[in-house]
Amino acid sequence: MNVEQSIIIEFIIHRSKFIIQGNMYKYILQSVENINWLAVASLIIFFVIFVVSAMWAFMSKKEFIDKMSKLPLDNEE
Amino acid sequence: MTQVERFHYDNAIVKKFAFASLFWGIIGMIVGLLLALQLVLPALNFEVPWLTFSRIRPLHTNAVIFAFVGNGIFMGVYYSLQRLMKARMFSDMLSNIHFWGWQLIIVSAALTLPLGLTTSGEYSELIWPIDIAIALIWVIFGINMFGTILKRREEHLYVAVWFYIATWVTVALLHIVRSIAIPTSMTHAYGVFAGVQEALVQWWYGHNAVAFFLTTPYLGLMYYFLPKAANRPVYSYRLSIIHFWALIFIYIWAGPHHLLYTSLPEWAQSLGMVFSLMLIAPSWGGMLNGLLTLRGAWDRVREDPILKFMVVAVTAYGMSTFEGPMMSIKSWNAVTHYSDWTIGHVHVGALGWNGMLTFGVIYWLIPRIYNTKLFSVKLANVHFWLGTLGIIFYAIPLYWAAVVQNVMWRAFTPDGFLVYPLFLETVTQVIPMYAIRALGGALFITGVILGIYNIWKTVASGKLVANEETEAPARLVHGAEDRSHWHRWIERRPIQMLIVSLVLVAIGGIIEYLPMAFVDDNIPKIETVKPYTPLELQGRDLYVREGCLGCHSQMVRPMRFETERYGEYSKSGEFIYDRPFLWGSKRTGPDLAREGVGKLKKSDSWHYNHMYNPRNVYDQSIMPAYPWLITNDLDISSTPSKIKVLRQLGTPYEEGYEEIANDDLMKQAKRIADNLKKEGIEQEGLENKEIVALIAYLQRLGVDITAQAQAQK
Repeated sequence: MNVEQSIIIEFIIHRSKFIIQGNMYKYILQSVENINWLAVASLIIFFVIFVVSAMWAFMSKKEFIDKMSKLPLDNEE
Repeated sequence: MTQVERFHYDNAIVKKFAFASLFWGIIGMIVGLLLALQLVLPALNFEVPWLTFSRIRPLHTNAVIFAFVGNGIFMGVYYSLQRLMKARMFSDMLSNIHFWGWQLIIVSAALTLPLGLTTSGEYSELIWPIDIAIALIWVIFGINMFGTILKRREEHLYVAVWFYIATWVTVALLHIVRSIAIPTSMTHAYGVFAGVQEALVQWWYGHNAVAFFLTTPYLGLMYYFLPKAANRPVYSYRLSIIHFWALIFIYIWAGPHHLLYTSLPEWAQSLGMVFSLMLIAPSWGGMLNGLLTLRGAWDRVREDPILKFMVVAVTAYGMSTFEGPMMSIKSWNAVTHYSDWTIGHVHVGALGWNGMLTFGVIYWLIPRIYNTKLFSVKLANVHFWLGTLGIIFYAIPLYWAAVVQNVMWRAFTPDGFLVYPLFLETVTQVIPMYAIRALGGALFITGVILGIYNIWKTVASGKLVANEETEAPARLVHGAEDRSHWHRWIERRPIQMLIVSLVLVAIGGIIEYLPMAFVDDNIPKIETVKPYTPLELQGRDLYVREGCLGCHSQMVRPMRFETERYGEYSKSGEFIYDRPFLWGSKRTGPDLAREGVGKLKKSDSWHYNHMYNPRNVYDQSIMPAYPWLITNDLDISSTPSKIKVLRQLGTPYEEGYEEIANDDLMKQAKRIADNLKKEGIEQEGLENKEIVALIAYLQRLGVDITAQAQAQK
């Protein structure tokens, strides 16, 4: 094992400890205070709108969707 | 049994808007071609104020956006809304007031902009009386549209109608907020927002003029006319539901991507960038929905020019909505912003998406309302190819120009100096690209002329069915049995749709703007930044009048190649007295934020000679000459009202200063005139001329921030 390999292995062990011991989650939780509430609010609002519109789209009955999509072709002269 | 009712569709109003769209379209495009040629041959400015590049550039953008596309929107809405609602328009009188009012607004814009009557806000250039007229006519359109929806015979609102509703309410909101200003005269006003705050409001407005004037109404047209032309239903109605809600909600946040690396606070820039990136999802959803509508019908695309126009339109929509999010990534925006990339990008949208869809719809619709066949399918095919080639020849040279500009702007010698310190060197390199761009524009216009001839002959061969007879059963109102689906609450109710759309688009605007207005930290004050003197103020308004911001930015980004070329990067606190803000978004000429200080400072006589004819200073310059500034007397009668209004808006001029402001103005003018004389300029009554005010303003640029640096030392 050469020096480079040993450095890499040491790095992997260190990272693993960091993750396993929960330091990473602690780090993420600590930085919550610095996250802009605007960014969080806008993400949540977008998520809600996306989910609601997707539910709307996919909970609609097939007959209704078919009827709606044919509306422009309804009054063919 | 429900009763079948007989009624008539109003085709006369559709015809009017279609013809108006073609008429203003060709005018707007010819002005665009003239502008493109002026960049190659500055002599084409003819030294006539109202033909000068900087004054007619907004005429081109306004004509194409609000006249060509605007009339195109109304044409498509008045045709499709009646049929989707199975009802005649609510009121013929309102339809006609809308039509003639809109044309009157266009005419007044075409008269005022070349005269230099402008606010200089991009796409919101029109002066306040015209802004009021726009608001009134927009309300008329809204009453007519909602009146029609409310008296409909079809209970359900097809997705195209959702797009029309969202368009109406959002454009109303954008226009009103952007236009709030206090008049100083019948043709001039100062906006209530200043500096960074105005920049945010401007690009919230400006980007959404693209979103809710050039995109959402045309998506409505796509969802109606593409299925009509292909004679098959839209690929996925479910997808169109998600497309609609996601698009209108996300679009409204994207404005700050026009202000990346500027003095706008970092958080606002990031928010704008993230939402711009997210936009690719609904945009491409919509594009794919349009293209997939043609599944199984591609053989017809080969033969039918109408479908060809629509396919290129939807493809161009896909291209520009891919490019847009990419250009919103900060590191790529650093390259595209201020360069010709933006101009290429917007023309893929304007010529490709709006232009090609408009022509597709017109070719489809005119033979139908004239009860005849298209005069020549072959000619329409030629138009299609000229248009498509025109777009390619337009966009690609400008992308290339942007690469050249960036390579040259950023080039350093091994010793760390700029390789091209003279900005003009980077301009002359791209002039061949400007020439090819003009060729692209000329190709596109040739196609449009053939199209107009084709429509002309088609119209001559038929007769307008002004009132098209039709019948439909009276509206069946569903009762309690249908309450199982919660979304029926909004699907059948236009007013709910209006309110929910308004709330959704308002959220983005409010969250982005309010912290800017109320959190002081967002705009740190700089002690040395002082209000403009009366003469500088008048000079600044001349800068606005002549449209200098079309080619010159006043915003140095914090990048080494910029600070090396221009000096200290711009800070938000510098702009608190700037009404309007003049950051600009294109550098055909150099940035001017530090024009009055450091190595960029020139003598007064340099400016005098340069404005008289830039070719006297640099023989290869493509800047127009402004000789009238040297002969025109400065109108100082407006000074008191300007000072008064600015004080009302918070600029710290002392109480009563308006009465003595012109004394100060004359003193400063005399000093500059004396200086010019010393430098060898001989002219009678020099201190009364407009040029003196403009010089005063140009010499002020960057002075305050330099004073701060000295004070700190």
